[in-house]
This record gives sequence, C-alpha cells and structure tokens, in this order.
Amino acid sequence: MAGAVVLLVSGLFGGLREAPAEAAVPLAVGKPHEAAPFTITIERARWTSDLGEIAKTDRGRYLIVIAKVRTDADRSVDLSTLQEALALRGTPGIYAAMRDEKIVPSEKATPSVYVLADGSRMSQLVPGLTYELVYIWEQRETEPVPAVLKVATRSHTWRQSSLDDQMNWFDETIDAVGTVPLSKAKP
Amino acid sequence: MKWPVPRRAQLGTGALVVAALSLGQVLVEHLPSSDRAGRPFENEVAIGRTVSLRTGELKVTDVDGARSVQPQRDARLMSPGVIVVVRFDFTPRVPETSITYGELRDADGRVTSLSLYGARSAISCPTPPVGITSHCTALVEADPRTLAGARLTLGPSAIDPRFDDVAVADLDISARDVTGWRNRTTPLDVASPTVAGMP
Repeated sequence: MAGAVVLLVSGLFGGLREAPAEAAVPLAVGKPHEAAPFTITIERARWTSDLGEIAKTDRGRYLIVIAKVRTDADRSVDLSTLQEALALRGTPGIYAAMRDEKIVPSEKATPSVYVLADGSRMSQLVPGLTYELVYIWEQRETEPVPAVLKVATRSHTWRQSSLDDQMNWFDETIDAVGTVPLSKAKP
Repeated sequence: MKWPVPRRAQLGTGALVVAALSLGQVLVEHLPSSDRAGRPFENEVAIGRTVSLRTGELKVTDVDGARSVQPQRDARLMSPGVIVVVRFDFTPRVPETSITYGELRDADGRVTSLSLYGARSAISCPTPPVGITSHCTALVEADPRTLAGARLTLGPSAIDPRFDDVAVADLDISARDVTGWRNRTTPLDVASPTVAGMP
C-alpha cells in the first residue's frame, strides 16, 4: 500500500529513475571496449614493489594494469570517472588506495592513474586523444601473487546531478569482465 | 482490520503539500533553465588586447605549443596530442582575486576544463594585491586535428563560472601553427608565473 502511494505521488514529479542493471560482457586483452565515456583497450598486467620515482612499498606489491583509454565525449572527463572506469574483481588483500591503511573488496579500491609516456599523475582526459595509462592498486604482502587479474570495466551515464543541477558522468555500472595474465615487471 | 480515517484538517494539509509540490514542478519546467539563466557574461578579447572583467583587467600576451613541455618547477609533460601554452596578465581590482577557471573550446566545439596546479591541463596564476599585475600561465592539452580556431575562456571562480564575468580569448591558432608545434623536437620551456616587481 505504502509502495503504491510512493509510486503514485512520485509520478507527479517525474517518477523514480530506473536502477542500472549489471550485464557484463567478456573483456578481451587487446580488444577495444566501449565503456561510456571511454574506449578502453587492456594491454597487459604487471606487478612490482618499486615504481621508481612514483612510489615504493615494503608492505606488499603494486598490481598494475596498462590500458589505452580514449574519450570521444564533448567534454574532458575528470579523474574520478577515469578511476571508476577500471576495477579489480575478487583479488584479496587490496588497500583502499595506494598508501591507505584499510583493506577493502578489490572492486571498491580506488586505483592511482599515471600516464605511461611521462610518469605524470593523470588528471582530466582530453576529447579525441588516446592515452596509455597505468592503473595501480596495492596488495598486502601476506597474499600470494595472483597468476591472473580479473579486471572489470564500468560505463557511466551523462546526466544532471540531483544535488546541484550540474551535468556529469554518474551511475557507474560494470559492463565487461575479463582476465589478464599477470607477470613481474622488469626493472 | 480497521483503517485509520484521516481528519478533514489532515486531508487539507496533505492536499496543500501536494499542490505546493506540483506548483513547484510546473515553475521549474517553465522558468528558463539554470544553464541559460546562469550562463557567464562572456567578454571576447583578442591576443594583445585588454579586457575589463568584474574582478580586474586581463590580457592574453602569448600563445605557443609543443608535444612536450618542461615547466620550470615541475616534471616534463608529454602529450599524445599537443600542449598549448597561453601566457596572460591579470591585474585585479577586487582584493584576493585571481584567474582560476579555464576551459578550451576547440574547432569542433569540444571542451577541455583546466584545473588548478598539479593537473596536466591547468592554470597557474598568483593572487597579487589590487592594482599589481600577475604574469600567469595556462597549459592545456588538445587534439591537434581540431585545435586551429580554438578559444580559451578564463574566469575568476574555479568552481563555478555561472553568473560571473569571463574572458573568451580567440587564440588565433592556425593549422600551420599546429603543424609547427607537433614537429618541435625539443620540449618547450615554461616559466613559472610571477608577480610584477617580484623576482
């Protein structure tokens, strides 16, 4: 009864938005995949405990996915959307972020993102350009090194924020999942 | 089971709430959209000319570009496209103001937002005392195929340009300029921003 009233009244003001459904397709290494607002091509995965000038860790290792990422959106896309676009799935012992103390389910961890060409921290992705990006997660030492990484892409929807009316990419939804062989990075 | 029967006053209050919400919805649908009503006041300016904004005077002094740039105090940047380096002067007439908002609109109408320090596309502009000029820099990555004819918008509020004065500068970039920038073999040095009269 209460649910019916909510539906009826919400209809007067535009109705309830449909929740995005998760329907993942296979994600293949080397094959471009469109996960709005990006086209993502997973290239390879590596692990190391020494990222040179970027960071070193003595509490485990960094798990790295290298991918080509491009957007053909009308506006540059900010870093948080770029971070949400790629996730690790089912990998144990992942810190919430590099240098963070908390362990979280791997799909909830926020990767650090760098530009392979110059080692700079990535910020906004410019329309029409293809970047070779390095996604980095940190895994604690007590976990064994995985043989493969299970990687997921998330797509977003361009819509108005219900808080401040600004347009942005929201509603991230896993749309593809695949495995990438993991090997040790050469020094 | 006996359903509670609302009193007349409760029914009246409920009806008034629904009516007020409906009226609000109608107003939202018929008033100008916030995008249109809140758009910034755009002041067009050419390179070398000064434009007067609410918060001060702004002049774009120089435009250059390369695939790679070497900022004076930061690590070298290499772009899969082109990095445009725009130098501009800002002289505030309002205390504690600077230029912190920027976006590049290319020939296809695509927009790249500039951030503050630390981003690959960023504005560096000190906040000088009123009447003193800052020599500022904007770095912005762009797709070389659609860069000729690009315009740069600069404004005082990094978070939200709505309702404020902004400068829209035609950067006077030609296809020939872009080709020259792409063919540069050495990184373009970018000096740090300064305030007039200070080392």
